[in-house]
Amino acid sequence: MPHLGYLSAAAVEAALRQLASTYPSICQLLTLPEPSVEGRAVHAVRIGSDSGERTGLLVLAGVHAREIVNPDLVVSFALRTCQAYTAGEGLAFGGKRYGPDDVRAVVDGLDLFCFPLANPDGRVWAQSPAGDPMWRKNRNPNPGRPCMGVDVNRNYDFLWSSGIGTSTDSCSEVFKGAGAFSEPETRNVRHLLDEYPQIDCMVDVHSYSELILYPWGDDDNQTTDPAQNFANPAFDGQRGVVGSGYREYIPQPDLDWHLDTGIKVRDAIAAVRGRVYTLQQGVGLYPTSGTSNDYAYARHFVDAGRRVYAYVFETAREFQPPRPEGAQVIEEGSAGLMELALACVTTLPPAAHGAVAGSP
Amino acid sequence: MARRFFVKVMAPDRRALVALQGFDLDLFAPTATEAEGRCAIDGLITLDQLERLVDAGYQVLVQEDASRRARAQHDVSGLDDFIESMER
Repeated sequence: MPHLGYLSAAAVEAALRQLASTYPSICQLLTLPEPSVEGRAVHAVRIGSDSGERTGLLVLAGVHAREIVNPDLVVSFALRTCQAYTAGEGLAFGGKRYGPDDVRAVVDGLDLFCFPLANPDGRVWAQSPAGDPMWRKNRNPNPGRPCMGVDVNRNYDFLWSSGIGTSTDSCSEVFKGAGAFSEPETRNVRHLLDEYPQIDCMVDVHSYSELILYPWGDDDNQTTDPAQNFANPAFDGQRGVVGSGYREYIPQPDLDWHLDTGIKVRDAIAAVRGRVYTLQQGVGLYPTSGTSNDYAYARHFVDAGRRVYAYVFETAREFQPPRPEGAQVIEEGSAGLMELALACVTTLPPAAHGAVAGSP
Repeated sequence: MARRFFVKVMAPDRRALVALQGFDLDLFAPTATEAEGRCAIDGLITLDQLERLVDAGYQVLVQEDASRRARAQHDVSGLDDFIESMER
């Protein structure tokens, strides 16, 4: 009987290489431009049958080291998708089933970018007997500062200077780094978004709480006043403040897409074994800034023509569930990813890269 | 490293919940909830940090020693075992 455990960082890398070598006609190994702080090469894969114009979905995981199940989830999803497509079969995740036509629709219609381990140094440290299993950040030594590590998911260029839900103290778990995109992990994600303009959807898979989150994360949403937006300095100091009256603008069609698709994802996850994830706005009760999904979605407001619908999944009920429970979480997350992939390929035509009406 | 515990911190309202950011603790933002006006959030803290919270008027429920939920170092697989387990 095989040992049921979570993949080591090296095994995640090996899985990506094996995917690309086993399924060369549909899977390409991508070397990200920046190695980790400790010098590890970082890879993703692009899965797709290369049949003309297509849209893209970026699946990101392994950003926070202690959230141990999610790199395995993304590796498993990629492997099973390639296996099913090649065999002409469907996929079953617990009680949720997809037919061969669904698998073909995704692989033939979508570029599926799987980036399962954005922070390999952190995972190595979390899995090392000498390390800290509850380590969250990367392993930047932060020269001249007292503590190691930057919270990769507070380092993106979305309201980075605002300080909302972040810290300038290197000892904090939400230390935002020396500058926006100061970390190789965030620059690698930016590279994928820059290099592959077909990416219209993204999900960053975290743990825990059984949530599906959509933009924005800095403050409550509103759909009526485009001037009240993250890029307007007139509102600096008001965002993320309880009772300030500030609300972040999101165009109604974008909000509708996130809600409609989020419900499909939620229902797909629930069909696996009955656990109902909560669909809610990212801000919840705790405002944040510098996060991946807000950055990805915000790009089209800054650079017209680039719109990325962006989610965060918060899988599981703890960071490191017992492995049998982790296997169930992998089934749930895989169903959610498949549903999101189908939504991207069926509702977003490849040419739909235009800015929406009402963008600031 | 100081011993740490998984806890649930209770705050009387949303403002008090957000004020927890000032303590710069390892609190898990996505776990924050609100019910009947009262808020709560999970976290991972030391006993010294717990004392600071209690002194500031927060209620803190200790759930478990961190080591009880730490499986990253013990449950590690190579790729072959992982694939074999997927196929079972």
